Amino acid sequence: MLKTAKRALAPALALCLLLSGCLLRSADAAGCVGGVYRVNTGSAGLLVLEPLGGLDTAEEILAALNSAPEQSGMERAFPDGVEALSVEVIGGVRAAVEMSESYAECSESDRLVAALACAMTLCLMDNIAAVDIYCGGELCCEGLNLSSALLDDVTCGGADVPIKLWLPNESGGVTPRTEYIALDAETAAAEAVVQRLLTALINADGGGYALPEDTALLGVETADGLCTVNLSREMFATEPESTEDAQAVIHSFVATLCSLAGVDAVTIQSDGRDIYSYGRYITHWPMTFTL
Amino acid sequence: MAHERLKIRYSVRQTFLTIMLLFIVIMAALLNIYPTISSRDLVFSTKQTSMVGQVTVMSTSLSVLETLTEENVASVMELVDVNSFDRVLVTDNSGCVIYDTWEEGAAVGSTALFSEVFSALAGSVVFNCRYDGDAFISRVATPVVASGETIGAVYLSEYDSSQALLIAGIQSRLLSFSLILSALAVVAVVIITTFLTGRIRELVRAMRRVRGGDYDTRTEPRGCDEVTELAEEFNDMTVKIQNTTESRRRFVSDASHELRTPLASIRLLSDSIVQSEDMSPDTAREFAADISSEAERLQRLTEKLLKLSRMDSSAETPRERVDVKAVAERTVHLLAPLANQRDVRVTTQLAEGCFITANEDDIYQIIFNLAENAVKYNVPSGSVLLRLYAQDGRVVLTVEDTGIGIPEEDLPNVFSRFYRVDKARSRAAGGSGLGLSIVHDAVTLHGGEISIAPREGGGTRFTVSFPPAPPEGGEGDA
Repeated sequence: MLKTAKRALAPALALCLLLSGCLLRSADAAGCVGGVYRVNTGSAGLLVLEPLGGLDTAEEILAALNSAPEQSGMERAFPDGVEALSVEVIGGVRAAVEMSESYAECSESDRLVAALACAMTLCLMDNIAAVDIYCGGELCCEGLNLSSALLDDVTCGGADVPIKLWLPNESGGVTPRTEYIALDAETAAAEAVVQRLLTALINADGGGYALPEDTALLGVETADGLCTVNLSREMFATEPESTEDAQAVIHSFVATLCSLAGVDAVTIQSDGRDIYSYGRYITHWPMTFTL
Repeated sequence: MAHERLKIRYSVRQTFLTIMLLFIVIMAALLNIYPTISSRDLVFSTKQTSMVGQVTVMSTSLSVLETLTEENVASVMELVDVNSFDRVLVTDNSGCVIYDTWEEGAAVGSTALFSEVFSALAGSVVFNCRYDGDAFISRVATPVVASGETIGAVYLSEYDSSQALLIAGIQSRLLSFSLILSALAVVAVVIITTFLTGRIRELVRAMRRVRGGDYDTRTEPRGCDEVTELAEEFNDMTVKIQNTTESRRRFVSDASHELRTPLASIRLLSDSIVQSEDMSPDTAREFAADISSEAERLQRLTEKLLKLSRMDSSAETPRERVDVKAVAERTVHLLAPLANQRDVRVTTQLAEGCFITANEDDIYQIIFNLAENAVKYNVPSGSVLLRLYAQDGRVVLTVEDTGIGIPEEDLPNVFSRFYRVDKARSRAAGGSGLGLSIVHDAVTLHGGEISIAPREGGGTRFTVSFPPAPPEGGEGDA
């Protein structure tokens, strides 16, 4: 497992650079947020989404997080006296939030809840994939994203869960986008995510290359952090002409799956066999992605 | 004065049906709701006991560790039963997942933001269970405490659809059962009320026919309930109405006939006087005497009819404490001239202290009519005996004569109005056929009884009895 991870390091670094560049080009493609995470005073999950519209920038989101909820049955995720002071978007995909000094005086669980609520709310923006929390200039929590917390137990009933899809864009890179998928006790998270991603790739939702319509998902298996995706051979009915487009398709799978909890690396197969090239892009498995 | 008839707004059937339907709905609701709630509560209670027990075992097993790591938790959890639950999750003291049976531990490293987990990390044992119609969804969490410090939390969840299916099956069967039972009850109520109101409507129709004059109407009593009794009473009442109406019709007919006869004689005689130009004064005087006699007869008849009419109307007459002996003696004295004229001897055996509560005039009329008849229908050198005495707590008066007597076949009819045994003799004696009717009605009106029987050796005996008057100040009474 460690050897394969090391083998995939170089492509991973390349992926990161590519993504950075791509994301810089797509930094202005920030989308609006569905709401703000609040503490639930009921009996369900600890954090619940309060639907709010008109939050188009990270600053507007912070202001909403600092304010009291409009709906009943909810509370601010920040303890009394704690506020998010500022936010800085770094590299287009990562945000750094500075919390007030009173944040450091809170209990560990309060700090954790506040940090997760802030991070998950910001990650609902299409272009933000991870959040770092600072207090007094010191890093408190690093790389919080949509997979950092289990909002509720899917075995106790279905729920719509936010995920980050990385989709090929017109420039040959990949662009993150937040979507909601329905998870329940019968559906494995990874499989549901890949199925949604496949639909988006076939429809070219990101504006980039579109997979052939007949491409089907044959299976998804996750073991020891390695996620293996098996696609049908119809994937190769047509292939992208440029290397960038081919890379973007492969990186789309890798980046999306690696943002899930429990997935460290990805292998893509076709009809049960590892694919060694896609278009003009030569692949090396397993492939990983970190922000 | 005619009254405004009430219109039927709520029929018995509608009212009964509405009440029954309401009752059925309430019972069906209770039958469907209560058992389901009880079953559900029982399941809740059972699951709480079971799951809290099992999560406590896991927590206790983990509490031997000083700190919780992925490796040591996994090794401990291999020794406990985690397969009974849909998810077993262990976190450290910050809520970070370090063991998870769901999706082979895919969530390890994430923070479990379950309210149960955070409540457990705060030191509470939390159990939640809800029933959503398809399954019982249960969640329990407890802290893992080592050396007095909370080092983590254990969380269990269970999705039990089998129990839910059982309760849904029970609910479905109860619903089917209550629907069938309700339908049967409604049908039974409709049939019973239709039968009940049908009999009532039949009675109403019969009453309307009787009201219209059809006194031959009868209803057929069916069943054996209050409506049956009502039908039988209606039939009896109709018979009585029919007899009364018939009796009155006959009375009116007889009265008209009796009144017409003297009127016809008066007219004939007066016409003869008027139309005869050379009638002698003696003849005219004779005719005038006859007219006067017929007029007297008409007057007597009219007075008796009025008396009978008063008795029929049961008009209240003043009653007082009457000394029957005194009335009888007065009556005998008044009849003395008639008795002398007929050569009939009238004797009395009147006991003292025979008092009754009555109208004195009515009692005089009773005694006078009986005694007068006894004298009128007697034979020359005959006798009349009046006896007054107390017997068996009643005041008894008997009038017996040695007269012509009454044939056996006529005895039951002598008290009927206008009935005469011998019309010719009765008219000659000035009788109208109403005297004994008046006696009978007067006796009945005063709560008495009258009977008639042939006298041994010839003649007739009338026996009248009355209830005695209450004692007055210690004076003697019957």
